[in-house]
Amino acid sequence: MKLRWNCYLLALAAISILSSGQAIAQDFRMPGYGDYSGYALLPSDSIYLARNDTDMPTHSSGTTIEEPFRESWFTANKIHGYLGLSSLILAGVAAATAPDDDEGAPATPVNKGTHHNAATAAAALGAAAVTSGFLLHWDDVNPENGLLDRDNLHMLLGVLATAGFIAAVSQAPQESHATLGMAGGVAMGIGIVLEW
Amino acid sequence: MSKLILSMLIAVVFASSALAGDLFPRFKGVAPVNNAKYESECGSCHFAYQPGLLPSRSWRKLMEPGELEDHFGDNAEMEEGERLAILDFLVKHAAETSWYKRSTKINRSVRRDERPLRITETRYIKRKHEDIQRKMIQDNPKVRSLSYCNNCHMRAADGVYDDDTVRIPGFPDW
Repeated sequence: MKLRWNCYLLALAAISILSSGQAIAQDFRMPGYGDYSGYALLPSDSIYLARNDTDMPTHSSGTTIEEPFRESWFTANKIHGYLGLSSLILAGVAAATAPDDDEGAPATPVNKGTHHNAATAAAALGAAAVTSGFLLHWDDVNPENGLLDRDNLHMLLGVLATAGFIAAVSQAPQESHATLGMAGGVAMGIGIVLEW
Repeated sequence: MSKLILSMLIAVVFASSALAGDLFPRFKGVAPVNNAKYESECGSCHFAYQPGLLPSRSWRKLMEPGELEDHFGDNAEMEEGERLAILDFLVKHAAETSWYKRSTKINRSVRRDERPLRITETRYIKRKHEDIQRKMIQDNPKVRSLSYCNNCHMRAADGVYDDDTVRIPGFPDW
C-alpha cells in the first residue's frame, strides 16, 4: 500500500515529539556521553586479572573515576533547535522552488512538487518545534518579563511563524499564501537569531 | 519524494552543525573572558567569572579598594594600576553592554537601585537554580556552593551555561 506524503510528515512530527519526550525523561541517552561518570569503580576479580598482579597505583581520591565531559549531540534542547532550524531551512527551500508567476502554469502540478512538499514539511517541523519548546521551556516564558524579553519574543515569533506556515500551506495555491509563508519565514528567522 | 527526504536530511544535518557552533558563533551564554590580566589576577584564586554575569555597578562596587580588602573573607588587594585596568575590563564587558542572552537576562533581573555583589544573588540565577535540591549543591562535597559554577557547568570557562553541559558530581541522572 502506498502511503501518502502527509502520513510521512505526521509520522516525522510524531517521532520528533516522542524523541523530545524520551530525551526529557533521559531514557534515550547515548552511551559513552558521561552517563557513567559518577559510577563507582570497585575492585573486582576481573580488574585484578587485568592488572596481572603488578603494582599498579590505585586511585588516590577513592574509587570514583570521572570521565572527561563530552557534550551530547542528542538532547531535548538540541532536538528543539534542530526542529526549528530545519523548519526555517525547508521554508527557504519552499521559497526557492516556488513557480514564477510569469512562467505560466507549471509543467507538473505544484501540489505534487518540491515547493508543496517543502512547505508542508516546514509547517510540520515548525509545529513540532513549538510543541517541544513549550514542553521544555515553559518555565522560561514569563509575561512579567515583558514582550521584549528574549525568551518571550522567541516563543511568540515561533508560534506566529508556524501559524504563518500552516496558513500558507492551507491557502495555497491562492496568491496571498506567498506573503504568509514569507512572513512566517522572517518571524522564524528572527526567533531563532534571538536564541542563537 | 526521495528528493524531499534527502533535502530534509540535509536540512537537519546543516541545522545540527550550525547549532553545534561549527558554522556560526553562538550568543546564548555569556561572552567568554578574553583578558589575560584578569585571568591571571582573579582567576588564580577562583573561577574567572565572566564580566557579563553582573552589571557594571556591581563590578564598580566589588572593585573598590575597601571591598577588595575584604573580598568575601579574603584579602584581594592589588596595585592601583592593575585594579583600574581590571575594573575597566569588567565595566566595558558588563551584563548591560552584552548581546549574549544570559547577560541580558541577568541585567533585566537586577533592579536599577540594586547592586548585587554576588552573581548567585541575582534573581535570574536564583530562579534558574531554585529547583535543584540542596543535596546536589550545598551538601555535595564536590560542589559545596552555587558560586563554584565550573564544578557543574562543564563549559563555564567558554561562557556556556545551558542544561546540556551540566554534570553534577555524584548525580549522573539529575
